[in-house]
This record gives sequence, C-alpha cells and structure tokens, in this order.
Amino acid sequence: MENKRGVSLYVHVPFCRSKCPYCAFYSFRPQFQEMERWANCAAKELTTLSTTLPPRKKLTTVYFGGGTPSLLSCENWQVVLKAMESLPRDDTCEFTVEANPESLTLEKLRLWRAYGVNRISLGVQSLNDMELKTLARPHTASDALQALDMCIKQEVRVSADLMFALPGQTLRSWHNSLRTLVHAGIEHISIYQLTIEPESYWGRHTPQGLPDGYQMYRWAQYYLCRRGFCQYEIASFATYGQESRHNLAYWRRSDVYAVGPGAWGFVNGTRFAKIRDFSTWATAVEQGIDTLDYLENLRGAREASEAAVLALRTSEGIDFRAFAERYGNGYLSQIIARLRELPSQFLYWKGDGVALSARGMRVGNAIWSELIDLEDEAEHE
Amino acid sequence: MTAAHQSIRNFSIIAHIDHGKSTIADRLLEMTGTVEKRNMKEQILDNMEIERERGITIKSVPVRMNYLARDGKRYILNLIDTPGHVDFGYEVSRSLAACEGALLVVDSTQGVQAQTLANAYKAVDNDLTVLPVLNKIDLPSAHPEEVRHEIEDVIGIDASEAVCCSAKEGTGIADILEQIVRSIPAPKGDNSAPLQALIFDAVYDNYRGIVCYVRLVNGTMKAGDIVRMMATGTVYTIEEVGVFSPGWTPVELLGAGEVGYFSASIKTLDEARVGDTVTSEASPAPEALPGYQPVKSVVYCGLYPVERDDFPQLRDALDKLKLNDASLTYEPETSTALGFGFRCGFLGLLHMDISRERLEREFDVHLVATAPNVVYRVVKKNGEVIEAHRPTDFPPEGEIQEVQEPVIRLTVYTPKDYVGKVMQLCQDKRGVYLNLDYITPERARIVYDLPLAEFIVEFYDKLQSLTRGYASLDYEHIGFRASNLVKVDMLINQEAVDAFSFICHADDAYHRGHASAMKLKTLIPNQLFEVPIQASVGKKVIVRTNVRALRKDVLAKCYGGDVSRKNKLLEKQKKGKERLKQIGKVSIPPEAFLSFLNVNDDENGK
Repeated sequence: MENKRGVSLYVHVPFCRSKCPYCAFYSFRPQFQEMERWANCAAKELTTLSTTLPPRKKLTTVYFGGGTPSLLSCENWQVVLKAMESLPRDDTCEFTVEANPESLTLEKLRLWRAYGVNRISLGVQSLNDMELKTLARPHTASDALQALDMCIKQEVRVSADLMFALPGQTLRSWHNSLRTLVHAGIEHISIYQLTIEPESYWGRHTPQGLPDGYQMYRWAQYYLCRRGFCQYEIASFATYGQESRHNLAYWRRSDVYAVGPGAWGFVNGTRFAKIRDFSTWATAVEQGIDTLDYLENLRGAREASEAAVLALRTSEGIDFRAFAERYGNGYLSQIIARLRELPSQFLYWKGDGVALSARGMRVGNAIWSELIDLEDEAEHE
Repeated sequence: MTAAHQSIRNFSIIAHIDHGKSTIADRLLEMTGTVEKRNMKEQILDNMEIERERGITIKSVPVRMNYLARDGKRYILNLIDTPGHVDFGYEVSRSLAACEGALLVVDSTQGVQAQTLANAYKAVDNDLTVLPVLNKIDLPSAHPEEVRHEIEDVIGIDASEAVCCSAKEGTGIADILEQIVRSIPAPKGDNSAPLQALIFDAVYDNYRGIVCYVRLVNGTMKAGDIVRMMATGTVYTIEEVGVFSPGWTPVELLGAGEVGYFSASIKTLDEARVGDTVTSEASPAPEALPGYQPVKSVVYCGLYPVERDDFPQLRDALDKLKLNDASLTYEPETSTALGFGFRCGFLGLLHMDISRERLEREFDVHLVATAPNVVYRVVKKNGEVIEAHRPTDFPPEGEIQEVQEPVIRLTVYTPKDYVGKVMQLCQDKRGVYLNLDYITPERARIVYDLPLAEFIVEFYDKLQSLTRGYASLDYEHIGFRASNLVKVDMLINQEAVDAFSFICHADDAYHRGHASAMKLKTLIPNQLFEVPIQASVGKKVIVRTNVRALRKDVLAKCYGGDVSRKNKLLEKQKKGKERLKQIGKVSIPPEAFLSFLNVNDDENGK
C-alpha cells in the first residue's frame, strides 16, 4: 500500500569530543582515521541506499545526528555530502545537521548550505556557564550564542536543545536560558529533563539535590507559549511553521531510512537498527555485507499501542479517521474507552481526534501506560 | 500393693531467664556421668537452634540420671527441664505436676526477679518441695546473703539451706545432688493401682509417630498394653516404652513414680494432649489427674507467603510445625492485600515470634506477618457473643452491645528509681493500678491490670528502655473485661480496605487513625487524580488526608531509536502494573501493603 506520508533519512555520526556524564548513547572520541573511515563508509551506504530506494521516492527530511556531527572535518563532510547527491530529494526537503557550539565553524556552515542543509539543531543545553560546567560541556554560554548568531546570519533555520532539572539549576537560571534564546531570534526549542541513565557516568555516580523539574517544565509551557511558540510535542516548542518535520516523521510512524553505526530506521512498519559497534559496522560496509543488526515488527495490539502513544506525544494527537484506517477501528475504540477513564483535564477532545492538554503532557508517561496493554483484535486489513 | 521405687527423685529446675538454669542442668548431667565430658556441649538440653541462640527453653526435655549418693545408695534422678516463659505457663504447670521437687535457681548478683517468683509460686501450687540454689557466686558482684533473705522475705520459703554454687565453675553441684536426694520426697504411687499417667509433653518422631512424655502416678505401662486417653477418649496399643537416659532408651516396663515415654502409632498431637491422663482400657482409673486444660490461643496474627505462589509451602510448613507444637492453631484466610494466608493463634508473643522464626528457618518460607492482635469478645444486641480474631470479624457498629478485651495482671519488678516511669508507662497503656510495694529498700514490685492488646504492642521494649533493662516482668491472664473499643476502618478513595482496619480504644482512635493515614500517604504512589485517605469509625470519618495527584513525570525526548526503548520502558511499567492491587481506581504496589502490614518492616519506624 502506497502511503502519502513522507520519506526520511537519518544518518548517525558516532563521534564526540568527550563523553558527557549524563549520556548513554553510542559515541566515542574518534581517531583521525576513524572519521575518514566513517565518511567513506557512510558515503558507500548512502550510495547503496540510492539503488534500493523505491523508484519515484523523494526524501522529504534528512537528519544528521549523533554524537556530534559538527566534529567531522570539511573534508569528511564533502565525501558524505557528495554521496547525498545520489539520493533524490524533494524540493522542500528539511535537511538538519546537529551541531555543538564549540565545533561549529563558518566554513562548515557554508559548506553545508552549499549542499542543501537548511536547518541546524544546536546543542546549547544551557546558557548558564555553571550549569554547562556541571554538564561537562566543552562550550560556554557565549560560544553558544555566537554559534546561534552565525546560523541565523547564514539564514538557516535553527533549533536549540535545552536541559532542565540540572543539579543546582534554579527557575531563574532556567528562565534566563529560555529568554536569551527567544531574544536571539530562535524559532525552535527542544527541552528535555536530565534523566539519569543507569549506563551513564551519572548513573554510577548520581549527583545529589536534583530538582524534580516540575516548575521549570511548567514555566517553559507558560513562557514560550506567550512568546509565539506552540508546544507541538511533549518536548518541542516552535513558532508557526518551524516544527521539525523530521521528528514528526517518527511520531507519525512514517518511513525513515537509516545510515551509520547504531542508526535506527523504520520502513514499512519494520523498525530496525544498524550494527552499533563502529569498526564492526565499517568492516561490514567495506565488505559489502548487510549492516542490519536488529529488526522489530510490531503488529496488532502492540503496534496500535505504540502508534497511539507516539501520536499522543504531539499536539496533533490521534486523528480518529486516520488511526482507524491504519490500525483498525477496534483498537481506536479501546483507546478512546481508556482515555475516557482519565480525569478530563488531561485531554483535549477535538471531535475528530484527541490530544493531551498542557497538563496531560506533564504526566504523559502515566497516561501512555494506560494504553500499553490493549487487547488483541481480530486481524485487521 | 507394691510401693513405688524409693530411689526415684523427680524434679525440675525453675529460674528467671539468664539465671543459669541450663548451665546447672549441664553440670548435673556431667557430674552424674549421664553425658560423657567429651560429648558435652553447652546447654545440652536446649537442642533447638533457636533455643541456644536466644538462651531460652521452649520444649520440655526430660533426662534420667543415675547417681551414687554419699549414703552409698544408687538413685534415679529424673530432671524435667521446663520452659520458663509465661507463654508456656500451662506446659510448665504440667511439667511441674510431674515432679515432687524443684530447684529454684536465683542469680546471686540479681536477686529475685519476676519469673523467679511466678515460677516459685507455680511450684508451690503443685505441692513441690522447692530447693533454692544461689548461682553465680563466683562473680564479684554476688551478694548471696542478701539474696537469701530476699527469697525468704519475698517468696516466703526457707532459704537457710540454699546451696551456693557456680554452675560456670562447677562448685556446689555435688551439694545440690545430695540435697535433691535428701530433701525431695520419693514419688508416692501404687504399681498395682489402675494406670494413671500424666502426659506432660509430646513430640513428633518420623518413625514412631507421636511420642508422649509421661509421668506415671499409679500403675505400670509396657509394650502391648491397651490404653485410653481420658480427655479425648481415643484408644491405642502401646508399642514402646522407655526412659530418657538421655535420648529415648526402651525399657521393659515403666512403674509408678517413673518418668518416661511411650509411643503407640499416634498420628497427631491433637490426640495426645499435654495434661491428659493415660489409663488402662481394661481397668480404667476412676478419674483423670487434675489440671487438664484445652489449648487456648491468646494472640493472633496473619501469616502470608511473600511470594503468592508459596502458599502450598506455607501450608505444609504449618502442618509440620503443628506436629511438634500442639498449641499452634491456624485457619486459612484471604486478604485483599496479601492474598491467601493463615490466621494463626499463639500462646503469646514469644510463642508467635518463635513460631514465625521456625517457619522461616526450618521450613524456608518467607513470611509477611501482620501486626498481632488479641481475641475480642463482642456481645451483640441480640445477645449473641462472637469471638473476633481479626477486625473483619466485627459486626457492624449498630449491632454491637459491648466489646470485651482480654486483660492481664502484670507484675513488674524494678529498681526504685524507675518506679515513676514504669507507672507512667502502665497508665499510658490503659493500665489499672492495683498495688505497689518494696520488696527490698532498693526494689519495688508494681502490679497493674493491663489490656493484653496494649501489652503486645511494644510494651516490653518500652519497659526495658525506660528501666535500662533492669526491670523484669511477669503476667497472668485474668479474663475479659468490657472496654470502649472501636473498629477503625481505613478508606482509600472512599473504599474501606479490610487489610488496613484495626481495633483500638476509642480514645486512641484519632491518633492511631492519623498515624495510619500518614503512613499510607507515603506508601501510595501519586495517581493521576487526588486520592483521599480517611480513617473512620463506623460512618464517621475522623481523619482525612490526600495523596496529591501526580503533577509531572519524567519527560524525555523520543526520536528514532528511542521509540523502541520507550516502548520497552512502558511495557515494563505495564508488567509492573499487573502486580498492582486495584482498590477501586487506585493502583497500589504490593510493597506498600507489605511495609504497612509487615511488622518486621516496622523496626526502623519505631
């Protein structure tokens, strides 16, 4: 079945200058040759992908994430971006690269622009130097603002990541980070709470006195919405038209192809991951061996649950007609019945759909966990 | 007419805890050569692990010693070691009834203590010759002469001939043996009279079935005899008779005055009850020996397996424990919170404690024990009387005419400096003052009537900490007394939860309700809505607090690979949720129930 949703591509760059104490993602400090090897292998994977991509399919979003993609040199980038040319892209394709303030240079930015990159996701994290130090980030607040300014001057869309509930963070410093970004002219902000992952450094050495983050999250909901932003997802705020279409692709369960070690993709209802270990992945690419490492194919109740949970992350919420068409009326009825059991202030019923209210977004986990154990329905076509 | 053996002496040893009873027993066994020195271990008669650890005696253990006295004659000494604790008062009284004499061991550094007195009176009640023994005279703080006077003043028995000994060093033991032979009368009794044998204990053996420990008062007993239990009316053919020398040693015949055992393929302890009289089926005795009482549980608690699947194991363990402990009673019950378990009745707190520990240790079942409660007697308006073993047995408030609770008469011995504190504690625990006197210028005896329910909650611990461990206590049950008792229900989101309700005095209802509500508040996780927690008496709510609605949970970003991870997290949450108990719309993790109900978990909260 041909679907009208877009086609996305995610490329994973597994390198970081240093490992942040809260991070449990796959990244490491690279040797020079490793970056070159990555670029060659990624280029090869991209070229291979161009031959397997269904005909007439054009990429609607591309996202280079990591890791720290901005750590790659211009030479490395040239190799990869050239290979990108082999993939057909829609005219309006959203092309995002993740960058950290300390490694973003004008040269790289210009190079990216030349190859069609039109959106930068900047790892600001905080605009308070103390907090940045606690997070062991290698940049300062002024580095971040300069990088931001540079992006805006180069006329690329720019988004900033901010973290809250940091050790020692106050509501005032949190507000200051938000306000400074808004005044700098940013149009997309992703906020996320510091979570202590067991596999991270802080998972083993947990800092004391972490705020619970309730006030900070609430303040972001209140403040940003009064500065022209819309909370279009649990953790994402954007001015009109500036939403990340790539991220929406995940939440809408659209097709996402994946390139790079440990990259995740989702095509035709199958979620998959590439080999996580860098050199194993690179060797596989070089030898022309398949780099798939993990496959997951949710069906029935579990698929419907996942779809509902993802949809309820966003302000679009669940569109009843589209949901029923894709996953079945039975599941939709089950979901609606369960949502009706919840206190009404958490939900926003729109007639043809339902979404979480601002209050509901604050307790998203508790609400989603109500939807996770749907009963299996008879096979749906 | 054949006279009973003149060379037999039957005696027991009684003492306050830690006054050296078991060590003296060890020395007696050693000196008479009953146990060879190389086989000797400390406190040989306390052979249960738990007895050694706690330094207490739970089961009676008889032992037979051969003694060549200074008069050149050989004597048979039967020592019946008895539990000292008040929980086992009935067993003790039966063991004492099997003897003609008792050694009253008093620590010469501590003097007369509560159980010294209680046990001495029991011995006197049973017409025993009481021989005081002053132990631990090797210690520098010993003051035997004072203690001698104390025994005469307080207990009122002649202590002028009391032997001074040190069981630790073995001094004075020979004198004790001589005194036993000389002062304790030989048993009376007639070998040709109809059989009357007192069962003073019974144990289970894998090969023999129940083995009854008996004292023959009249008549004889041998394998092949057909006997009848006079209380239960059951009839058996004796398979084996024997004596304890030590361990079971079969003999041809047990005669009047002797202490021994018999087995007769008896299957359960219910058929061979402590205190029952064994007689001959062919020529029965006209009457049973006096003093028989059926077992009466005093304290109840619920025992539940920690893992619900372990219920069959718990049942088996209780069945097996029951084989060795007739005083344990249990019936299945279910609790919304804890699932399937048993309501168990015990002779007292120590008995409860020990049984619980034995179940866990000897049978390897992990238990949740609910807080102990006493038996209440509820008189309904229609005249019906109910025995309530748990709060849910209470009828609706409107049907209750009167509630009665068991009361104990409590005697506390304390150094005079703590008299005020002890009396304050007794008052706080709803005690009724009866008497206060000074047994020496330094030590006082305080007597109160106290509701048992108050006694079983932390009383002993509090007394010990108030008096720095110097107080000793003893008590006896004196029956039921009407009291203003109420049932307090705990309501979660307007629904009463049976597992959390409790009985208490009306005056305590508010603060205990409040404490429970506060504890529940910390245990119940935040839900998506506000959850009221209330304590109510009847229809009247006396305490209310709220578990605040969840306002925020952790917000993490969720892109590509996170989707799958996030899903797994939510599924894990869902698995967790399956374990949750639903009280109406409120989900409560079982751990919350456990920490509310499990008394073991309460230690740190005190």
